[in-house]
Amino acid sequence: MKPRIYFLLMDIFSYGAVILAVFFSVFFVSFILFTLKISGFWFLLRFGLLGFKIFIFSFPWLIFLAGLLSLLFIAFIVRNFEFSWKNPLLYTVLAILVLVLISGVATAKTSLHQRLFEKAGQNRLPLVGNLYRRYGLIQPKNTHMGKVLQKMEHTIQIESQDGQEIIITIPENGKLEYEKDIEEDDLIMIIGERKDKTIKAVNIRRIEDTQMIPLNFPTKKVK
Amino acid sequence: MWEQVQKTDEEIAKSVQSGNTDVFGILVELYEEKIKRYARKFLSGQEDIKDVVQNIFIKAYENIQSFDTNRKFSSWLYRIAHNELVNALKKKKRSPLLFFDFDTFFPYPVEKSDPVQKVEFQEMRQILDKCLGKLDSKYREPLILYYFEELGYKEIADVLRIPISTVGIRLKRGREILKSIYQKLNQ
Repeated sequence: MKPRIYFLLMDIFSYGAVILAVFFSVFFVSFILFTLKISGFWFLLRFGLLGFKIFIFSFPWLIFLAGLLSLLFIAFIVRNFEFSWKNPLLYTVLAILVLVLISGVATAKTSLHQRLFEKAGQNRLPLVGNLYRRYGLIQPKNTHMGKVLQKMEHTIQIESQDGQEIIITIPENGKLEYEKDIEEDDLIMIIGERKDKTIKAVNIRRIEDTQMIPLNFPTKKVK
Repeated sequence: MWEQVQKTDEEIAKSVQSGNTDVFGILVELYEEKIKRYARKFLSGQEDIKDVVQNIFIKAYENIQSFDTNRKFSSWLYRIAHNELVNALKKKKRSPLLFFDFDTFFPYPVEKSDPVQKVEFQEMRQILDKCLGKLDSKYREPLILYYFEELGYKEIADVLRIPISTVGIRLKRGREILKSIYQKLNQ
């Protein structure tokens, strides 16, 4: 006969596994939100179909998958708990999803990831440091951010994330419909090919709220 | 011993939990035939049935400390039997392990007990006995628990670990399937 303590420990283990999986899910959700924010990903959606395409191709799907697996693991374990199997699985899945999403959004609003991100950049973060260095700041191919230094008729001079002065060239044929009211000190996102210190703009949009992360921080280049 | 016989199943189980292991035999005597009858609905070989029933009582004895004496002992024992039978059937034919099925995923209104069911009870038992093998195990088990083991919706839900509303929907669909199989057989 197995002693009572065995069943008590099994219960503790099950609850512990669920708590750990919830922690990981919340971490992954908030990490994705953080990385989308600092990479200026949300602004890509303002670029229409082209921006959407870049968004889809550069999205951190691996982290998303890790979060999804953690959620499935929670649902799998929680099914053994009485409160869960007494109700339709849909309720359990929705409850877990809402809990993780709310906690994830709340965590993303704190400075936790920012601090960990900075530590990772200084190589002072063990275990998850690589995650931040690899996926923290994603820079999709041909997508650039910078601060407007000077605006001329067919060119815009910006200070890029790597601190360089870059010239954005705007086609003279007027095919590029960009926000004409861009002013000095505005933060802008540019889609276009960069050659040395020039970017041939395909599209330009003003962005707000995003912190300019220096590009000397290791980033993941998405092709 | 006579004192123990007068006790409820749950009280006997509590007694086993507190160290009076000899009285576990009373529970075996009380449930052996029921569990054998239950196993017979799933397995055919006499040796298989004997082995599975033996395993069910060994598992029950080993895990008796996990039994909550505020709950029904019969539901707990049938749960062990259900697990053992599922394992035994899996060994016989490799069936895919489903994470969930749609009956347990979506909410359904709880089916109210229908007075006609009581009249049809005996008839359904006979049909079930004849057509059991042709029925999907998803519907077979709640029907057996309801018509042969005479468990209520709540107890079946506890044994199968599914919502009560799902028990209702499976019994309803199971009855419909069973009737159509029976009609085809009699045509």
